[in-house]
Amino acid sequence: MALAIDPLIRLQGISKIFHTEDVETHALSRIDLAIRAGEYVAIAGPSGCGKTTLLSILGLLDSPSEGSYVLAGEPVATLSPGQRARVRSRAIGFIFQAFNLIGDLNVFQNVELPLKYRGLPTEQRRAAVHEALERVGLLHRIHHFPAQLSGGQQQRVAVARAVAGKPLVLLADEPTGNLDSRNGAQVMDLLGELHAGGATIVMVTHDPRYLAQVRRTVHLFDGRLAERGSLNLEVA
Amino acid sequence: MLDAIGRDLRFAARGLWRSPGFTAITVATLALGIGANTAIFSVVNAVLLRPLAYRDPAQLVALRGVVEVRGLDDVRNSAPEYEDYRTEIPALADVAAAWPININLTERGDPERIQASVVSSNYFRVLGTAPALGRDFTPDDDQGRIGYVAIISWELFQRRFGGDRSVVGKTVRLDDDPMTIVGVMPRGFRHPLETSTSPMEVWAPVELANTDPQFIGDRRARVFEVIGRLKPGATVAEAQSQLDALSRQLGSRYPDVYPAALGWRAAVLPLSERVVGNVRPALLVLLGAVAFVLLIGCANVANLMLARATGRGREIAIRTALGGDRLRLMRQLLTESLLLAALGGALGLLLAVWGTSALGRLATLYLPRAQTIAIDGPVLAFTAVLILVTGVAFGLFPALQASRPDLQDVLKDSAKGSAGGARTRMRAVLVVAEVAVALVLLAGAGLLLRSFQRLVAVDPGFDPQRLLTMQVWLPVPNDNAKGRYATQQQRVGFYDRALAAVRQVSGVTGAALVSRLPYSGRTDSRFKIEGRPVADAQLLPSAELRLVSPDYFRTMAIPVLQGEAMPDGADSLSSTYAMVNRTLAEREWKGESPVGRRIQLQLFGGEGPWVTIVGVVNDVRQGAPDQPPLPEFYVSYRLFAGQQMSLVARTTGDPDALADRIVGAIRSVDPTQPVFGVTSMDRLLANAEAERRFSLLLLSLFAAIALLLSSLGIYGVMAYSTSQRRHEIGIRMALGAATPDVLRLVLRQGMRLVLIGLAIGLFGAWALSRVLAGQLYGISARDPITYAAVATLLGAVAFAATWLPARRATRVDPMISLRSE
Repeated sequence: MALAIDPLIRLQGISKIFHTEDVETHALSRIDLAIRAGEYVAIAGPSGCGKTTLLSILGLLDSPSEGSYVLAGEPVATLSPGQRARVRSRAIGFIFQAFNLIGDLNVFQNVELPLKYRGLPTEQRRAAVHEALERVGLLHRIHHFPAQLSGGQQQRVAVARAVAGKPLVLLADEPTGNLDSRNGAQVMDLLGELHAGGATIVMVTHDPRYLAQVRRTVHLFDGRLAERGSLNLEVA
Repeated sequence: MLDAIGRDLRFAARGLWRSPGFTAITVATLALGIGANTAIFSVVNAVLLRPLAYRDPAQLVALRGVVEVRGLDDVRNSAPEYEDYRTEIPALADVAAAWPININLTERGDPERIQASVVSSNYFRVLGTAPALGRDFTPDDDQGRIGYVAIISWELFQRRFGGDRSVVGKTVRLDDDPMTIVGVMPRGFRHPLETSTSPMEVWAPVELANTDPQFIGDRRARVFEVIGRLKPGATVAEAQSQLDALSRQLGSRYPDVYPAALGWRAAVLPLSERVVGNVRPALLVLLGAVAFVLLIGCANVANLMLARATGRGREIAIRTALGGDRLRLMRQLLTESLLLAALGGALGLLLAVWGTSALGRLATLYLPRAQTIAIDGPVLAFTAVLILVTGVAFGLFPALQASRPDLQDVLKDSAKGSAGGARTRMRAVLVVAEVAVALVLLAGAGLLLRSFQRLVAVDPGFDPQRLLTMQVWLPVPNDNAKGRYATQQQRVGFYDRALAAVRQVSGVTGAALVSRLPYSGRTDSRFKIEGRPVADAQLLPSAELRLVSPDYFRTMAIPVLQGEAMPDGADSLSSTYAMVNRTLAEREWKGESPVGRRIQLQLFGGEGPWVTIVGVVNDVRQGAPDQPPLPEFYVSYRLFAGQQMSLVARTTGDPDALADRIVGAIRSVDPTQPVFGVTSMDRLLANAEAERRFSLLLLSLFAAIALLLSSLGIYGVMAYSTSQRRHEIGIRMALGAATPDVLRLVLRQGMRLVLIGLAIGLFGAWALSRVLAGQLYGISARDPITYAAVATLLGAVAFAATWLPARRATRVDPMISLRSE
């Protein structure tokens, strides 16, 4: 049985190697990382250091070449694509740099999408969507299409989509990268509120303005971890 | 301007050269569509559109009788009726008559049966064609009956006389008569009402004013085809009005020949309509079907062009941003479309040359004028117009769309998810249209196929396996008294000896004679039933008459249902028997047995002998496989042994293998006697279905092409759409979509279009069903089973075409969602 202080996410010896013809590229090398429930962690580092690769492994979009990944007490590194899709739909919420709303779906349908994949009944979905949109202040835009929204509004819809299913962890990939500073600040405030409400957030960013808002920053350099301000929880 | 067009052409050619896959698929699709249209148009042009090859063909009309009581609308005319038309119809400038007959040519090589015609001496002048060699007939040539002069066709002149011009003026033996050849018709001259398989090759003059009732003076002896030429300015309607008046007068003048109850009247129609009227509906259906194939092809190419235009969006946007004007861009894009259409058209034309030749061979059995099917000037002009129209049709919308790009979006390369709405909608519309049109074609082919299945399943009433059939035509000299087969006894003697000789051939298990083989035309004859007096002889019952040898039923394996088969050797004038078929027995004796009853045949010359019915036999389909059995009676050929008889021989093995020996056996009786029409009964039955087979084959081919093209179209659109949605699919997978979710997403998108197309197609097929109704047998043009079957087939093929891109979509790497586009 997991103790209360057990980490929500535990990576041990994670490596990711890409093979292109005769060239072997080590995107991540022996990463050890533990993230507790309720933590707000930033992953920072220069371009090409492996931030996005690490996020994709955390989000089960990709699998590591080596190492183990335990999410909420379950090993998930070697799951099949179908199993990974199931875990994603239940445990992970994504916020993308480019918002990634689906243009043919309106706000309600966009937020509802992960809930449909999870197989929730219609009524539950509706209630969850309304709650999430209310939380991000966009309930009045529920029938609008993404093209009818500003960039900041689109990203707030993306946040609502990510939190609607109450995932175990929110993964945000440069969530302010496509926004001006005012909208960027609004989105960061929103993430702060979610964290204050108990959400576990892992955010990739290279903007130093926002690093100050997180409790812990994990620095990556050439695929290796160089952590600062870490509680660095030791796990028995 | 020319320079600009040249530049556009060079640019388009370079663009196509750089996209060999796109170019090959597009050109092949267009070649199929344009080639098929060209080939079918060449048939329609030759058969329906090209004027008849006579002087002022629009003035030529055909005259014929209509007997409403008997449902006959194509009754030939008697010589006195011809004289009436000639003298009493002011709208007609002149009238010619022709009586098609067979004759035997017995000189210069093997004896040969020739299709000939005795004609009025003005025949060629009415048609407006003069002989190429020698001279035309003169009024004196017929010598009051049938003249001893002949005009031959160019083809016979070449085949039999080697093109020797000195043949004009020479005498040859035709049906034992010495006939002097006075002229040779030009190459390609055809009798307007001949069949393609039996071209007319000899013409001889006949005096139609001869009033000898034993010759041709009997008003009831309706053996002549009559062709008229309208006076300049006169119309068919005027001629018909005058014929109506004449018909009424004839009814008053000759009430015994034209009793009011019979409903006889003379009718006139344009000669071209008489020649091709029957095949017009089938050809128009094929032309419509092949146009549908081209439409589907155009939809496919338009889809490819739209995709290509999207792919070239950046290039076009840069051109626009640099100041390129829209018209200039459109012209450039349309030049590419037209170049593609021209390449497709050129390849299609090659396909059409091959297809036209094949169609000509296929169509010979039933299409009038099939021998003139060719790629000629009008067909080439049609193809050129087709190239132009298709080039614009599939190129215009993509060009319009591509020439007004959203510069900001394209140049920023930030378009997301699916491509532009108008293009997406257009692609969806094209897929729906393709499916709908393909379903209409498939429904047509399905209906013809099911109809054909029912037709070939029709019981002909006898066993057609291992039966060889052939015909003989005993010579009839102008002075019949001098003929070798002038008397009944002479003819019966020949037939008896021929039968005996055939039966001696090893492998022959039975042989018999019949005056007319199944599916080879009708011989309607009136008869009296003993004890049932009828006041008016014209209103006597009638039925199909077959003259047969007694063992005909055994040889053909026609079951005897009541009584017994015709007694062998007992069929003489003093002891005469008849058999009736089930339909006649039920019509005339309604549940009672006709066995033992007597009937009396009615002949031109008067009443024939009374004959006793000894049995009832199974119905044999005589008219055509799709027509119900006709009432029919059989009497012995010894009563009325005619000049023309057919022989059937049942064999132990392949009947074709015995053909030479059987023909040889008949020729051993009379070496100068040609035997013609030698063919197996199986082939004879197949030929009777040739028209349906032709339509079925072509419509099935077009439907198969439509199915292929539409499935390729659906595949292309779905594959393209899926490739455009890879990022969206990646996002969905990141959000938790599993493989079945992605499969459902793509399949639902594709199948929604397919289902809309199927619904529209079903409605279209239902609405167009009546155009096929006349070509179907034993099945409704709105047969729900056929509709359901073809919709299921098309739906299944469309599902497969959607499944492949859907499978590919499930392999999208969800990592794509983390990348910027």
